[in-house]
Amino acid sequence: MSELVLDGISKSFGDTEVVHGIDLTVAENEFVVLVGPSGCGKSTTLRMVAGLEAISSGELRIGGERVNDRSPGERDVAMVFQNYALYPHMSVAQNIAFGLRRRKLSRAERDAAVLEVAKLLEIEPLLDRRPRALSGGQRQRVAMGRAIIRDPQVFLFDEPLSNLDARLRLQMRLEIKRLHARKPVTTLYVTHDQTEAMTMADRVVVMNEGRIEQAGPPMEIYRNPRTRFVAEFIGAPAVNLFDARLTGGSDDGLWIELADGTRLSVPASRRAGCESYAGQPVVFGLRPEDIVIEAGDGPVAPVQMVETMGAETLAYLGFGGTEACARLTGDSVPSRGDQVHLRLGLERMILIDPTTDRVIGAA
Amino acid sequence: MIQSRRSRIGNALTYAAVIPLAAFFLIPVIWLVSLSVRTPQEVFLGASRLIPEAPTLANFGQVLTDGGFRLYLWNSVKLAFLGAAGAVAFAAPASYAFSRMTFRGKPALMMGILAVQMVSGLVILIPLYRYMDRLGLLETHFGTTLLYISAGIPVTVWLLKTSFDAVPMELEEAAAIDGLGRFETFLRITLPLAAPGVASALILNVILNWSQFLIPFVMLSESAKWPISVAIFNYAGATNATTTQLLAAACLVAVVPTLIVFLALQRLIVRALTSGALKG
Repeated sequence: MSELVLDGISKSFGDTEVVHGIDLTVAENEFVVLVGPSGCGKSTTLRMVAGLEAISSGELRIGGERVNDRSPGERDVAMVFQNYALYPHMSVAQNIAFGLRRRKLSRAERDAAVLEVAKLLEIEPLLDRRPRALSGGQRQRVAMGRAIIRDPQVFLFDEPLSNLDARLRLQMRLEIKRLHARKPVTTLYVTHDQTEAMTMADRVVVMNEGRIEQAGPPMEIYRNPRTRFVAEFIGAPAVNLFDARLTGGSDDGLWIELADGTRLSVPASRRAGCESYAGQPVVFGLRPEDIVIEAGDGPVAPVQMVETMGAETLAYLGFGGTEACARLTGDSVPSRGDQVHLRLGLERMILIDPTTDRVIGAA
Repeated sequence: MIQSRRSRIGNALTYAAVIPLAAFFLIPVIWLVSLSVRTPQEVFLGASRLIPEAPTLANFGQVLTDGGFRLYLWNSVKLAFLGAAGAVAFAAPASYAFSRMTFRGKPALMMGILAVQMVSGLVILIPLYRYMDRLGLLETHFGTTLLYISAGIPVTVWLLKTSFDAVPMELEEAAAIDGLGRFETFLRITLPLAAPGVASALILNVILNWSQFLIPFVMLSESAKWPISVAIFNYAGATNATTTQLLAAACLVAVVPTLIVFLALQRLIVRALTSGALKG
């Protein structure tokens, strides 16, 4: 249980650098999720922390000590693998106890520790079984048990839920969180699933092409993305992006002009950051929940497709020269072909500078 | 309809090809069986008495109670098993390295090992004899075993590499995180999980060693050290009509263990030889 520091960590394979100078501090007992598309370097970064990949440059510190040159076993980290990596020739109890071999415990102490972990994970009845005889969710629990029992300084997860079916994934997601709340450990968790990242993390770190795009609490990442990549990657359904242009002078207000000619007035609260872009092309972004169907004087759009999901409905609208997704709550569900009035939550819009792909006004 | 007719013709052709082939291999065995159950008198009747009028198992009894013959069998067992165990023991670390490590020239080395396998034993027999002579290992089971081992290593390296390849990398990584060193991981994780492959490599080596003839023939001239293959050959050279039936019985006794082992473990052996040939 200690702080994990990645100080300019890089990884090269031959002449190709795949991870470029990652700086990241995971505070004691913090739950940090590394998220990004496949190939973004998140797994390589995790494997460098675990000691399974050599660190090409930079310094890795666990609990204030440099551990670059220590073997995985000496780093006192525990890891849960995507495919569980249980030892198939050992029973569940042996699998869990395996990590304890280095501690010089008596047999009774070891058995007690295994039992305690098994109780925590509710896998007591399975202790005598072989991994082959377990379901995916049970295997995942055993893999976690093997990690927990070591009481490591840092907990590493490498896409632990991606081999589970949707229902089980949800359940295990919750369980890992619950476990962390009950037994806090410094945790670095890798996933490509932005929902997992949002729901589990104290802090989300979005990676792209071997770099950190943005790091912050989930809601901050969601509401104030710093780049187009983060805006698009986080959130499902994805943010709606429209090609647009900022027009108007200071006296007449500031307008967003969409490709289909729709003109939207920039609310006063958002004017300050973007006045300097007047007259320039921008990318205008709105989250699906910020498009609401409501009678009034808002713009009119045709409903092109409707997906009902029970608690909410996704409506795909012909708007702004493209198709926009609106997330509707409530019981009034539009039908395909309807013409509807929209109310747009422009206070929460995301404006992106298309030349740099950075969000305008972001730090 | 066309499909099935075509497959029927295909079947017919397959049998037409396979039956002569099977006959080619089976006829000597049948002949051997026939001879081994004859009385000395009937041996003189040759092929006309393929099924003898007075079949007897006495020949087997005589062969199996003969002290010399038992010694040859024991020598064969000893050489075959020691050679097989040695080949597996020496090949395993090499296979592990080929399976798990990346180093310069790995493909070339793997092919090189295969190339060694392709060299005919006959070609290297004379230099081999001279080396062993210089080392003072002629006429010893130790030296013979060493040659069995080196003869078995190439195939064994390839066989074991395939079974090590099948052990998921993550298991070794998990073991590394659990604090095991490389050798300990190999011993406690990789080797036990590759056990079926190791077992079949061992069995295959035993079978190959059992039928090994050239090496012991050249290495051992002292009859007390002969394995069964060499002993039978030497008896055959000295044979006369009165011992033919005994020789036949001895041959069968020598061949049958391999046959039984192969039939019993056929599936395991074929799987070991073909695993890794196809993905999935």
